[in-house]
Amino acid sequence: MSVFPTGAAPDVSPSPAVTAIAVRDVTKKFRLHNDKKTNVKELFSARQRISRHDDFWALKGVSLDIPAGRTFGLIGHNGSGKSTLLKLVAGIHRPTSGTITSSGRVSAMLELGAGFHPEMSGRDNIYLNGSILGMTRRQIDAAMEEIIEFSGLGEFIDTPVKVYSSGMYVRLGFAIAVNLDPEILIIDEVIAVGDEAFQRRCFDHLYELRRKGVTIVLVTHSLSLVADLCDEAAWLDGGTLRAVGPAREIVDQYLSTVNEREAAADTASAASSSTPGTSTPPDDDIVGKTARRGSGEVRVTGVRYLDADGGERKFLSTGRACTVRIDYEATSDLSDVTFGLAFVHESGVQAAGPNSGYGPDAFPVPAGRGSVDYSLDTLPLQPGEYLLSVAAVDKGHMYDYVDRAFVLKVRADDVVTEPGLVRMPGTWRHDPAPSAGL
Amino acid sequence: MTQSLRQVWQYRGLIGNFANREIKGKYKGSLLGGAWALINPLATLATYSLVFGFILRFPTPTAGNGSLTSFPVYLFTALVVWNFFYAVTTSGMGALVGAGPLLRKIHFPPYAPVFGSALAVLNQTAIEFGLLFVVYLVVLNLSWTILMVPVLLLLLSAFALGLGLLLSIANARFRDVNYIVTVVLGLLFYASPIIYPITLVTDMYAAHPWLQVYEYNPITSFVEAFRDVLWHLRFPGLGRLAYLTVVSLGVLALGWTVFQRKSADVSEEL
Repeated sequence: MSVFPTGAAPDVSPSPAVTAIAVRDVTKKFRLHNDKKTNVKELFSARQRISRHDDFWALKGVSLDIPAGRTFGLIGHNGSGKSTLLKLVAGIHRPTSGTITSSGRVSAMLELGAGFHPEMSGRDNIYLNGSILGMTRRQIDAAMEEIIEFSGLGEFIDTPVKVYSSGMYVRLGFAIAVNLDPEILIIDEVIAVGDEAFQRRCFDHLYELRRKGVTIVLVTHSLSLVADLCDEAAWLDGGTLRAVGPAREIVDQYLSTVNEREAAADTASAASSSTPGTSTPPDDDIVGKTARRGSGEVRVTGVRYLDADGGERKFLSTGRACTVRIDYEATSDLSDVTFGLAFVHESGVQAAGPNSGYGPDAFPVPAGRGSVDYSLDTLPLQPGEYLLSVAAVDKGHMYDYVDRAFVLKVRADDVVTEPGLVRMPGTWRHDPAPSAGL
Repeated sequence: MTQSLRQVWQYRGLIGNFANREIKGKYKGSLLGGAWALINPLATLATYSLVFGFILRFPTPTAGNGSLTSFPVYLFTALVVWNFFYAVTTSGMGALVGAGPLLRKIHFPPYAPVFGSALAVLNQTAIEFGLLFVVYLVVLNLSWTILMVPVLLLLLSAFALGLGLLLSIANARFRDVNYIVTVVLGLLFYASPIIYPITLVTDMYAAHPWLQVYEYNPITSFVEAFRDVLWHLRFPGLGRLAYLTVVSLGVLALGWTVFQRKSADVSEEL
């Protein structure tokens, strides 16, 4: 699924100077809903409303150029104004100030199958939707076979859409939107539809449209999709434009800022908590998924995550150096203690289970407090949440075992395009000359 | 003006599809289907004929052919006109509100569903007028004046569409409009010479001169004009035609201007 044919468009910039959509100083104000009077009685009711303050500025002066023939991504967290900008570009709303000019027919996919009439057949709905998108009947007729073929509806095309399954519904919607020869295609988070096979076809089609020089504007929370599919991206933050540029750069900037922000929030919350400097909970507070086991001569008191510089972090980054530090307390001197860790992914799969070794590799542990470090040059775990189990054992004897008691958050510093739990550290090599025989 | 016409023409396919959607959706799921388009007006006609023609016995003037005095036919002539006006005026309100979910997702001119619903009314009107012509043909009450019918229908369409545009955009803002319109049109129905001959009112002019206002009601004028050409088989008079033309085109221009000005942000209000 995530392996996209990225190299498919070597000539995406036939004439980079041409602007498909020009956004100039655009602002958009929404009046918050509770203020709206929808009946005459409210209009005449004498109560003076003080509520001129609940205006919400979704966009606060955005200017950007979307070049023709490019695939353009809009990213930003929820409420950043991406969808509002998309609606303005699609002509659904009017900007409060500023101008948006687009050259070319805009086909917007804000919700698949939004215009379907349940009582009408699939074919009639194709005519209806096509005409909404501004096509003539002849143009729709020309695309009809392609749409039916793409949607895979076949014989069902002449039955009313009300009997369609939800999958058939969105498949038809997508087929109409992409096959009606759009000049500018606007997509809002609607690509994740249908089954695996259909999704694949959707992406193939999007890449084909891209190759044909269709301008595509895309809003999605899937950063890897933006990095793969888009040539350029814009990052919106709180209604203003933070950055525009090559998609990968923007996505990386965005990710690092999100990580910084999260780290800042973590230190802020750590500073306000009662035990500053350490996130280690008191001994008794460690609660695993199952009851704590072991004889107790060595007890794990906490786990800390350190980055390459030895600074304590709330989360670790894929591909970076890091250390997992296990704090313990021993009640007596012990000669051979083996420490073990288990990294269990939130899905329940155990990703790894390293231990410090038995026999001659085991650690001698003096009585008192101490710590053991498990260090990695590059963290192979992919982003996600992992639960850590910690064990201290001496061959068959168990001193302490806490089952999945600690949370490890792994974040990405750049875009993740590989599926799976771990990033394999291998290298690829290819010798183009035939190595043996004829 | 020409620019708006060109724009409307450009979206004719969409307007046609909205009309199509309206017509196809109308009788879906009903047992008798399209037969209701015939049953409905006939049932209304039967009720009014019974109450006003048989029980209350309103006088019926003699028709243009000198022999026809059937109250139901006299009534039906006006009822067809009223039904057309009523449907065009009110259907736009529902059509615009109904297109709300669509307008919030896709950009298209908001007048398209209003025009589409008005166009869909023609389907019903064609059935009713067709029936009326058959009746007049059977009773041999026809003349060249029937050629005036398309002209009058065009004027009535302009008038009703202008009013429909105004009402639908007002209704998008305040949903009360829908209910108010039901009441007001109910009054207008009885304030026009539909179920009774206009002479019932004009005869009282001597006693109550202010009643002459009655004739300025455009619906009165329309009904009288249609009855002139269909029942009395006479030309409605240039004065009346001029009045109807001015009123109809004025209302249409007003409705279109207001609608275009107010509808740009309608997607946020629906």
